[in-house]
Amino acid sequence: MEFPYYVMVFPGYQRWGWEIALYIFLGGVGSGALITAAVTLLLGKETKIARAGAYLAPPLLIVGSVLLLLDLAGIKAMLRAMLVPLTFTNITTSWMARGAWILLVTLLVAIAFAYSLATDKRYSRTLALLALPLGIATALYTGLLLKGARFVPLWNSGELPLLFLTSALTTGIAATLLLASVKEYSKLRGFLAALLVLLLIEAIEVPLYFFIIGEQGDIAVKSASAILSGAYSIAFWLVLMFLGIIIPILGLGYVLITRKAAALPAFFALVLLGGLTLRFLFVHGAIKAFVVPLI
Amino acid sequence: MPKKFLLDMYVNRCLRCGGCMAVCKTHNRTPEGVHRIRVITFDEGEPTETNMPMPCLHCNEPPCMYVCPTKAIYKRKEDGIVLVNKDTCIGCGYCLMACPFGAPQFEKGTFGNRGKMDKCTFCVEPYEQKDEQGRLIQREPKPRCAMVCATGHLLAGDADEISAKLRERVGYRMSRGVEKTFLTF
Repeated sequence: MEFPYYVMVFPGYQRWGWEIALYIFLGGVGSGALITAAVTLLLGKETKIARAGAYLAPPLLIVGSVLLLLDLAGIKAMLRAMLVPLTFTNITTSWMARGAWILLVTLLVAIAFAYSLATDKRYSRTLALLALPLGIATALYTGLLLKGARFVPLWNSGELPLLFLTSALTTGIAATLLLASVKEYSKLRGFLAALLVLLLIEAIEVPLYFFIIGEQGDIAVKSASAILSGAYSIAFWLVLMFLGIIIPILGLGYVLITRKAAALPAFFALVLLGGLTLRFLFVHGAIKAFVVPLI
Repeated sequence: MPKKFLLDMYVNRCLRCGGCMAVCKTHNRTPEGVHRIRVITFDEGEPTETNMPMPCLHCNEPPCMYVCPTKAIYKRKEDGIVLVNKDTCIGCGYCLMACPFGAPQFEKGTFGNRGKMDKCTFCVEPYEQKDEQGRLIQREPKPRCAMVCATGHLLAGDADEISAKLRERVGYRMSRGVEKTFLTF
Protein backbone atom coordinates (compact mmCIF):
# COMPACT_ATOMS: atom_id res chain seq x y z
CA MET A 1 0.00 0.00 0.00
CA GLU A 2 1.26 3.48 -0.83
CA PHE A 3 1.36 6.10 1.85
CA PRO A 4 2.31 9.74 1.51
CA TYR A 5 5.89 10.43 2.50
CA TYR A 6 8.58 13.03 2.28
CA VAL A 7 12.22 12.24 1.74
CA MET A 8 15.04 14.22 3.29
CA VAL A 9 18.74 13.84 3.99
CA PHE A 10 19.29 11.46 6.85
CA PRO A 11 20.38 13.42 9.93
CA GLY A 12 23.59 12.11 11.52
CA TYR A 13 24.19 9.42 8.93
CA GLN A 14 26.80 6.86 9.98
CA ARG A 15 28.69 5.81 6.87
CA TRP A 16 30.38 2.54 6.21
CA GLY A 17 34.06 3.13 6.81
CA TRP A 18 37.15 2.89 4.62
CA GLU A 19 37.31 -0.87 5.25
CA ILE A 20 34.25 -1.52 3.10
CA ALA A 21 35.41 0.78 0.30
CA LEU A 22 38.85 -0.83 0.29
CA TYR A 23 37.29 -4.29 0.40
CA ILE A 24 35.11 -3.55 -2.62
CA PHE A 25 38.23 -2.37 -4.46
CA LEU A 26 40.37 -5.37 -3.46
CA GLY A 27 37.56 -7.83 -4.15
CA GLY A 28 37.14 -6.21 -7.57
CA VAL A 29 40.85 -6.37 -8.39
CA GLY A 30 41.07 -9.95 -7.10
CA SER A 31 38.08 -11.16 -9.12
CA GLY A 32 39.30 -9.22 -12.16
CA ALA A 33 42.70 -10.88 -11.89
CA LEU A 34 41.01 -14.26 -11.53
CA ILE A 35 38.89 -13.65 -14.65
CA THR A 36 41.98 -12.48 -16.58
CA ALA A 37 43.93 -15.59 -15.57
CA ALA A 38 41.05 -17.94 -16.39
CA VAL A 39 40.38 -16.37 -19.80
CA THR A 40 44.08 -16.33 -20.67
CA LEU A 41 44.41 -19.99 -19.77
CA LEU A 42 41.23 -21.02 -21.60
CA LEU A 43 42.07 -19.08 -24.78
CA GLY A 44 45.74 -19.84 -25.01
CA LYS A 45 48.51 -21.63 -23.29
CA GLU A 46 49.42 -21.35 -19.66
CA THR A 47 51.59 -18.27 -19.72
CA LYS A 48 53.37 -15.99 -17.31
CA ILE A 49 50.38 -13.66 -17.38
CA ALA A 50 47.88 -16.39 -16.46
CA ARG A 51 50.07 -17.41 -13.56
CA ALA A 52 50.45 -13.80 -12.37
CA GLY A 53 46.67 -13.37 -12.32
CA ALA A 54 46.08 -16.66 -10.54
CA TYR A 55 48.69 -15.88 -7.87
CA LEU A 56 47.38 -12.35 -7.39
CA ALA A 57 43.72 -13.26 -6.78
CA PRO A 58 43.87 -15.26 -3.49
CA PRO A 59 45.93 -12.76 -1.43
CA LEU A 60 43.75 -9.85 -2.58
CA LEU A 61 40.54 -11.71 -1.76
CA ILE A 62 41.95 -12.76 1.64
CA VAL A 63 42.99 -9.19 2.53
CA GLY A 64 39.54 -8.00 1.41
CA SER A 65 37.77 -10.58 3.56
CA VAL A 66 39.90 -9.61 6.58
CA LEU A 67 38.88 -5.99 6.04
CA LEU A 68 35.23 -7.07 5.99
CA LEU A 69 35.73 -8.95 9.27
CA LEU A 70 37.41 -5.92 10.87
CA ASP A 71 34.26 -3.90 10.26
CA LEU A 72 32.17 -6.24 12.42
CA ALA A 73 31.08 -5.92 16.05
CA GLY A 74 34.08 -7.46 17.79
CA ILE A 75 36.35 -10.48 18.08
CA LYS A 76 33.49 -12.89 18.80
CA ALA A 77 31.48 -11.69 15.82
CA MET A 78 34.56 -11.92 13.61
CA LEU A 79 35.20 -15.50 14.63
CA ARG A 80 31.57 -16.37 14.08
CA ALA A 81 31.49 -14.69 10.68
CA MET A 82 34.37 -16.90 9.55
CA LEU A 83 32.07 -19.90 9.84
CA VAL A 84 30.21 -18.75 6.75
CA PRO A 85 27.76 -21.65 6.27
CA LEU A 86 26.64 -21.50 9.90
CA THR A 87 26.39 -17.74 10.22
CA PHE A 88 25.20 -16.42 6.88
CA THR A 89 21.91 -18.26 6.74
CA ASN A 90 19.64 -15.67 5.15
CA ILE A 91 20.60 -16.38 1.54
CA THR A 92 17.01 -16.07 0.35
CA THR A 93 16.80 -12.31 0.77
CA SER A 94 20.13 -10.84 1.88
CA TRP A 95 22.86 -9.97 -0.60
CA MET A 96 25.39 -9.88 2.20
CA ALA A 97 24.72 -13.54 3.03
CA ARG A 98 24.81 -14.53 -0.65
CA GLY A 99 27.98 -12.52 -1.06
CA ALA A 100 29.67 -14.25 1.87
CA TRP A 101 28.99 -17.60 0.21
CA ILE A 102 30.13 -16.37 -3.21
CA LEU A 103 33.29 -14.91 -1.67
CA LEU A 104 34.06 -18.11 0.24
CA VAL A 105 33.62 -20.36 -2.80
CA THR A 106 35.55 -17.98 -5.06
CA LEU A 107 38.39 -17.81 -2.56
CA LEU A 108 38.61 -21.60 -2.32
CA VAL A 109 38.52 -22.00 -6.11
CA ALA A 110 41.10 -19.22 -6.54
CA ILE A 111 43.46 -20.91 -4.08
CA ALA A 112 42.98 -24.28 -5.83
CA PHE A 113 43.53 -22.62 -9.22
CA ALA A 114 46.75 -20.95 -8.09
CA TYR A 115 47.92 -24.18 -6.51
CA SER A 116 47.20 -26.24 -9.65
CA LEU A 117 49.09 -23.74 -11.82
CA ALA A 118 52.03 -23.83 -9.42
CA THR A 119 52.23 -27.63 -9.31
CA ASP A 120 50.98 -30.28 -11.71
CA LYS A 121 48.60 -28.25 -13.96
CA ARG A 122 46.35 -31.24 -14.53
CA TYR A 123 43.13 -29.67 -13.30
CA SER A 124 43.93 -26.09 -14.15
CA ARG A 125 41.61 -25.89 -17.17
CA THR A 126 38.66 -27.30 -15.20
CA LEU A 127 39.40 -24.87 -12.37
CA ALA A 128 39.65 -22.01 -14.86
CA LEU A 129 36.17 -22.91 -16.15
CA LEU A 130 34.93 -22.74 -12.54
CA ALA A 131 36.86 -19.58 -11.69
CA LEU A 132 35.50 -17.56 -14.60
CA PRO A 133 31.81 -17.43 -13.52
CA LEU A 134 32.78 -17.14 -9.87
CA GLY A 135 35.05 -14.18 -10.60
CA ILE A 136 32.22 -12.47 -12.48
CA ALA A 137 29.82 -13.26 -9.60
CA THR A 138 32.19 -11.73 -7.03
CA ALA A 139 32.60 -8.57 -9.07
CA LEU A 140 28.84 -8.23 -9.63
CA TYR A 141 27.91 -8.98 -6.03
CA THR A 142 29.86 -6.03 -4.63
CA GLY A 143 27.54 -3.82 -6.64
CA LEU A 144 24.47 -5.81 -5.65
CA LEU A 145 25.51 -5.52 -1.99
CA LEU A 146 25.34 -1.74 -2.23
CA LYS A 147 22.18 -1.87 -4.32
CA GLY A 148 20.56 -4.04 -1.62
CA ALA A 149 20.52 -1.06 0.74
CA ARG A 150 17.47 0.43 -0.93
CA PHE A 151 17.37 3.73 0.91
CA VAL A 152 20.72 4.99 -0.30
CA PRO A 153 19.49 6.37 -3.63
CA LEU A 154 22.97 6.72 -5.18
CA TRP A 155 23.37 2.95 -5.06
CA ASN A 156 19.84 2.07 -6.06
CA SER A 157 20.38 1.30 -9.73
CA GLY A 158 20.85 -1.87 -11.72
CA GLU A 159 23.76 -0.19 -13.52
CA LEU A 160 25.91 -0.27 -10.38
CA PRO A 161 26.86 -3.99 -10.54
CA LEU A 162 27.75 -3.60 -14.23
CA LEU A 163 29.83 -0.53 -13.45
CA PHE A 164 31.66 -2.42 -10.72
CA LEU A 165 32.19 -5.38 -13.06
CA THR A 166 33.75 -3.12 -15.70
CA SER A 167 35.98 -1.51 -13.11
CA ALA A 168 36.89 -4.92 -11.66
CA LEU A 169 37.95 -6.11 -15.12
CA THR A 170 40.05 -3.02 -15.90
CA THR A 171 41.76 -3.00 -12.50
CA GLY A 172 42.18 -6.79 -12.61
CA ILE A 173 43.86 -6.73 -16.02
CA ALA A 174 46.03 -3.79 -14.97
CA ALA A 175 47.12 -5.46 -11.70
CA THR A 176 47.85 -8.76 -13.47
CA LEU A 177 49.95 -7.12 -16.17
CA LEU A 178 51.70 -4.99 -13.55
CA LEU A 179 52.66 -8.11 -11.60
CA ALA A 180 53.55 -10.18 -14.67
CA SER A 181 55.88 -7.40 -15.93
CA VAL A 182 56.11 -8.87 -19.41
CA LYS A 183 58.29 -6.66 -21.60
CA GLU A 184 57.56 -8.08 -25.05
CA TYR A 185 54.95 -6.07 -26.88
CA SER A 186 53.73 -9.02 -28.99
CA LYS A 187 52.56 -10.96 -25.93
CA LEU A 188 50.78 -7.96 -24.44
CA ARG A 189 48.90 -6.77 -27.50
CA GLY A 190 45.64 -8.65 -26.88
CA PHE A 191 45.50 -7.63 -23.23
CA LEU A 192 46.19 -3.99 -24.01
CA ALA A 193 43.45 -3.94 -26.64
CA ALA A 194 40.98 -5.52 -24.19
CA LEU A 195 41.96 -3.06 -21.48
CA LEU A 196 41.58 -0.16 -23.88
CA VAL A 197 38.08 -1.27 -24.92
CA LEU A 198 37.02 -1.77 -21.28
CA LEU A 199 38.42 1.63 -20.30
CA LEU A 200 36.50 3.25 -23.16
CA ILE A 201 33.32 1.56 -21.89
CA GLU A 202 34.11 2.76 -18.36
CA ALA A 203 34.77 6.29 -19.60
CA ILE A 204 31.20 6.41 -20.89
CA GLU A 205 29.62 4.38 -18.09
CA VAL A 206 30.98 6.29 -15.08
CA PRO A 207 29.80 9.84 -15.90
CA LEU A 208 26.57 8.47 -17.38
CA TYR A 209 25.80 6.69 -14.11
CA PHE A 210 25.83 9.93 -12.15
CA PHE A 211 23.55 11.59 -14.68
CA ILE A 212 20.96 8.82 -14.90
CA ILE A 213 20.91 8.26 -11.13
CA GLY A 214 18.98 11.54 -10.83
CA GLU A 215 15.85 9.53 -11.60
CA GLN A 216 16.03 8.12 -8.07
CA GLY A 217 14.91 11.42 -6.55
CA ASP A 218 16.22 14.50 -4.80
CA ILE A 219 18.68 12.71 -2.51
CA ALA A 220 20.29 10.95 -5.47
CA VAL A 221 20.59 14.30 -7.25
CA LYS A 222 22.19 15.73 -4.12
CA SER A 223 24.78 12.95 -3.81
CA ALA A 224 25.49 13.00 -7.55
CA SER A 225 25.98 16.75 -7.54
CA ALA A 226 28.30 16.48 -4.52
CA ILE A 227 30.41 14.11 -6.60
CA LEU A 228 30.16 15.89 -9.95
CA SER A 229 30.45 19.49 -8.78
CA GLY A 230 30.71 19.59 -5.00
CA ALA A 231 33.01 18.33 -2.28
CA TYR A 232 34.16 15.26 -4.21
CA SER A 233 34.51 16.92 -7.64
CA ILE A 234 38.33 16.99 -7.59
CA ALA A 235 38.50 13.29 -6.72
CA PHE A 236 35.96 12.52 -9.45
CA TRP A 237 37.11 14.65 -12.38
CA LEU A 238 40.84 14.86 -11.73
CA VAL A 239 41.73 11.55 -10.08
CA LEU A 240 39.08 9.18 -11.44
CA MET A 241 38.19 10.55 -14.85
CA PHE A 242 41.44 12.26 -15.91
CA LEU A 243 44.20 10.24 -14.20
CA GLY A 244 42.35 6.95 -13.86
CA ILE A 245 40.59 6.70 -17.22
CA ILE A 246 41.53 9.34 -19.83
CA ILE A 247 45.34 9.27 -19.37
CA PRO A 248 45.45 5.43 -19.51
CA ILE A 249 43.24 5.45 -22.63
CA LEU A 250 45.56 7.91 -24.36
CA GLY A 251 48.62 6.05 -23.10
CA LEU A 252 47.37 2.65 -24.22
CA GLY A 253 46.39 4.06 -27.59
CA TYR A 254 49.88 5.51 -27.94
CA VAL A 255 51.47 2.17 -26.95
CA LEU A 256 49.28 0.23 -29.40
CA ILE A 257 50.29 2.58 -32.24
CA THR A 258 54.00 2.97 -31.52
CA ARG A 259 54.56 -0.49 -29.98
CA LYS A 260 56.79 0.89 -27.22
CA ALA A 261 55.86 -0.76 -23.91
CA ALA A 262 58.22 1.16 -21.61
CA ALA A 263 55.69 3.42 -19.86
CA LEU A 264 53.00 0.77 -19.39
CA PRO A 265 53.44 0.15 -15.60
CA ALA A 266 52.64 3.80 -14.92
CA PHE A 267 49.37 3.52 -16.85
CA PHE A 268 48.46 0.30 -15.02
CA ALA A 269 49.08 2.01 -11.68
CA LEU A 270 46.84 4.90 -12.77
CA VAL A 271 44.04 2.46 -13.68
CA LEU A 272 44.31 0.97 -10.18
CA LEU A 273 44.21 4.45 -8.64
CA GLY A 274 41.07 5.19 -10.65
CA GLY A 275 39.37 1.98 -9.46
CA LEU A 276 40.20 2.76 -5.83
CA THR A 277 38.83 6.29 -6.18
CA LEU A 278 35.65 4.99 -7.79
CA ARG A 279 34.92 2.69 -4.82
CA PHE A 280 35.68 5.39 -2.24
CA LEU A 281 33.45 7.86 -4.09
CA PHE A 282 30.58 5.39 -4.07
CA VAL A 283 30.89 4.45 -0.40
CA HIS A 284 31.71 7.89 1.04
CA GLY A 285 29.81 10.06 -1.41
CA ALA A 286 26.50 8.32 -0.85
CA ILE A 287 23.82 10.14 1.13
CA LYS A 288 21.20 8.13 2.92
CA ALA A 289 17.58 9.09 2.50
CA PHE A 290 15.38 9.58 5.53
CA VAL A 291 11.75 8.86 4.91
CA VAL A 292 9.21 10.90 6.86
CA PRO A 293 5.93 9.01 6.90
CA LEU A 294 3.03 11.44 6.64
CA ILE A 295 0.33 9.26 8.08
CA MET B 1 -3.13 -7.91 16.24
CA PRO B 2 0.00 -6.05 15.07
CA LYS B 3 1.44 -3.48 17.42
CA LYS B 4 2.31 -0.17 15.78
CA PHE B 5 3.48 3.34 16.46
CA LEU B 6 1.60 6.18 14.80
CA LEU B 7 2.76 9.76 14.52
CA ASP B 8 0.12 12.48 14.48
CA MET B 9 1.69 14.31 11.58
CA TYR B 10 -1.61 15.88 10.55
CA VAL B 11 -1.25 18.56 13.17
CA ASN B 12 2.34 18.54 14.18
CA ARG B 13 2.14 18.35 17.95
CA CYS B 14 5.69 17.42 18.96
CA LEU B 15 7.35 20.08 21.11
CA ARG B 16 10.76 18.41 21.29
CA CYS B 17 10.44 18.12 25.06
CA GLY B 18 12.60 14.99 24.97
CA GLY B 19 10.45 13.10 27.45
CA CYS B 20 10.27 10.05 25.18
CA MET B 21 14.04 9.89 24.81
CA ALA B 22 14.60 10.25 28.54
CA VAL B 23 12.05 7.66 29.61
CA CYS B 24 13.27 5.22 26.96
CA LYS B 25 16.83 5.54 28.19
CA THR B 26 15.78 4.99 31.79
CA HIS B 27 13.44 2.13 31.07
CA ASN B 28 15.62 0.21 28.63
CA ARG B 29 19.01 1.18 30.11
CA THR B 30 20.59 1.93 26.76
CA PRO B 31 24.23 3.08 26.83
CA GLU B 32 25.52 6.38 25.54
CA GLY B 33 25.12 6.81 21.81
CA VAL B 34 22.16 4.44 21.49
CA HIS B 35 18.79 6.12 21.13
CA ARG B 36 15.93 3.75 20.52
CA ILE B 37 13.76 6.79 20.00
CA ARG B 38 15.03 10.21 19.09
CA VAL B 39 13.42 13.47 18.16
CA ILE B 40 14.40 14.70 14.73
CA THR B 41 14.04 18.34 13.78
CA PHE B 42 14.08 19.57 10.26
CA ASP B 43 13.79 23.01 8.70
CA GLU B 44 15.02 24.32 12.05
CA GLY B 45 14.40 28.05 12.54
CA GLU B 46 12.06 28.30 9.57
CA PRO B 47 8.26 28.57 9.48
CA THR B 48 8.03 24.95 8.46
CA GLU B 49 10.10 23.75 11.42
CA THR B 50 8.97 20.28 12.34
CA ASN B 51 9.89 17.93 15.13
CA MET B 52 9.14 14.30 15.04
CA PRO B 53 9.91 11.46 17.42
CA MET B 54 11.30 8.52 15.49
CA PRO B 55 11.08 5.07 17.07
CA CYS B 56 11.17 1.86 15.04
CA LEU B 57 7.88 1.72 13.15
CA HIS B 58 7.81 -2.11 13.15
CA CYS B 59 7.13 -2.29 9.42
CA ASN B 60 4.93 -4.94 7.92
CA GLU B 61 7.77 -5.85 5.58
CA PRO B 62 10.88 -4.69 7.40
CA PRO B 63 13.81 -3.95 5.02
CA CYS B 64 16.22 -4.55 7.91
CA MET B 65 14.91 -8.09 8.33
CA TYR B 66 15.30 -8.81 4.63
CA VAL B 67 18.90 -7.59 4.40
CA CYS B 68 20.12 -9.11 7.68
CA PRO B 69 22.62 -11.78 6.60
CA THR B 70 22.32 -13.88 9.74
CA LYS B 71 18.55 -13.83 10.39
CA ALA B 72 19.25 -11.99 13.64
CA ILE B 73 16.33 -9.63 13.01
CA TYR B 74 12.95 -11.26 13.18
CA LYS B 75 9.30 -10.26 13.35
CA ARG B 76 7.40 -11.75 16.25
CA LYS B 77 4.45 -13.75 14.97
CA GLU B 78 1.85 -12.89 17.58
CA ASP B 79 2.12 -9.10 17.52
CA GLY B 80 4.45 -8.18 14.64
CA ILE B 81 7.12 -6.57 16.80
CA VAL B 82 10.51 -6.51 15.07
CA LEU B 83 13.19 -7.76 17.44
CA VAL B 84 16.91 -8.47 17.16
CA ASN B 85 18.68 -11.51 18.53
CA LYS B 86 21.99 -10.20 19.82
CA ASP B 87 23.50 -13.67 19.98
CA THR B 88 23.46 -13.99 16.20
CA CYS B 89 23.95 -10.31 15.26
CA ILE B 90 27.47 -9.74 13.92
CA GLY B 91 27.23 -5.95 13.71
CA CYS B 92 27.74 -5.59 9.97
CA GLY B 93 25.63 -2.43 9.76
CA TYR B 94 23.68 -3.49 6.67
CA CYS B 95 20.36 -2.93 8.49
CA LEU B 96 21.41 0.65 9.20
CA MET B 97 21.86 1.20 5.46
CA ALA B 98 18.53 -0.43 4.63
CA CYS B 99 16.25 1.21 7.22
CA PRO B 100 14.62 4.40 5.93
CA PHE B 101 13.85 5.63 9.46
CA GLY B 102 17.24 5.16 11.11
CA ALA B 103 15.93 2.76 13.73
CA PRO B 104 18.98 0.46 14.00
CA GLN B 105 21.39 1.88 16.55
CA PHE B 106 25.03 1.08 17.14
CA GLU B 107 27.22 2.01 20.04
CA LYS B 108 29.66 4.52 18.66
CA GLY B 109 33.04 2.89 18.59
CA THR B 110 36.22 2.79 16.66
CA PHE B 111 37.54 0.20 14.25
CA GLY B 112 35.94 -3.17 14.74
CA ASN B 113 34.05 -1.98 17.77
CA ARG B 114 30.82 -0.70 16.33
CA GLY B 115 28.96 -3.09 18.61
CA LYS B 116 25.85 -5.08 18.00
CA MET B 117 22.68 -3.60 16.67
CA ASP B 118 20.11 -2.33 19.10
CA LYS B 119 16.69 -1.09 18.20
CA CYS B 120 13.33 -0.18 19.65
CA THR B 121 11.63 -3.35 20.87
CA PHE B 122 8.26 -1.82 21.79
CA CYS B 123 9.64 -1.98 25.38
CA VAL B 124 9.62 -5.79 25.21
CA GLU B 125 13.36 -6.23 25.68
CA PRO B 126 15.79 -3.92 27.49
CA TYR B 127 19.29 -3.24 26.15
CA GLU B 128 20.74 -6.24 27.97
CA GLN B 129 18.43 -8.90 26.64
CA LYS B 130 19.19 -11.49 29.31
CA ASP B 131 18.97 -11.42 33.09
CA GLU B 132 21.55 -12.82 35.52
CA GLN B 133 20.41 -16.39 34.97
CA GLY B 134 20.78 -16.01 31.19
CA ARG B 135 17.05 -16.03 30.49
CA LEU B 136 15.63 -13.82 27.76
CA ILE B 137 13.67 -10.93 29.26
CA GLN B 138 10.24 -10.57 27.67
CA ARG B 139 8.10 -7.76 29.07
CA GLU B 140 4.69 -6.50 28.16
CA PRO B 141 4.57 -4.52 24.90
CA LYS B 142 3.80 -1.14 26.47
CA PRO B 143 6.03 1.60 25.05
CA ARG B 144 6.92 4.16 27.72
CA CYS B 145 7.60 6.87 25.11
CA ALA B 146 3.95 6.93 24.05
CA MET B 147 2.84 6.84 27.69
CA VAL B 148 4.77 9.98 28.59
CA CYS B 149 4.13 11.87 25.36
CA ALA B 150 2.58 15.05 26.76
CA THR B 151 0.90 16.22 23.57
CA GLY B 152 -0.27 12.87 22.26
CA HIS B 153 1.82 13.15 19.13
CA LEU B 154 3.09 9.61 19.49
CA LEU B 155 0.49 6.87 19.63
CA ALA B 156 1.32 3.25 20.32
CA GLY B 157 -0.68 0.08 20.61
CA ASP B 158 -2.82 -2.20 18.50
CA ALA B 159 -2.93 -0.93 14.93
CA ASP B 160 -6.74 -0.84 14.71
CA GLU B 161 -7.16 0.91 18.03
CA ILE B 162 -4.68 3.71 17.47
CA SER B 163 -5.63 4.33 13.86
CA ALA B 164 -9.28 4.66 14.96
CA LYS B 165 -8.14 7.11 17.64
CA LEU B 166 -6.15 9.15 15.14
CA ARG B 167 -8.98 9.14 12.61
CA GLU B 168 -11.39 10.34 15.24
CA ARG B 169 -9.03 13.11 16.24
CA VAL B 170 -8.48 14.26 12.67
CA GLY B 171 -12.21 14.03 11.94
CA TYR B 172 -13.01 16.22 14.94
CA ARG B 173 -10.45 18.76 13.86
CA MET B 174 -11.78 18.85 10.30
CA SER B 175 -15.37 19.16 11.48
CA ARG B 176 -14.36 22.24 13.47
CA GLY B 177 -12.81 23.66 10.31
CA VAL B 178 -9.24 23.68 11.58
CA GLU B 179 -6.87 23.90 8.65
CA LYS B 180 -3.87 21.69 8.37
CA THR B 181 -0.94 23.30 10.15
CA PHE B 182 1.65 20.93 8.81
CA LEU B 183 2.52 19.55 5.41
CA THR B 184 3.23 22.96 4.00
CA PHE B 185 6.26 21.73 2.12
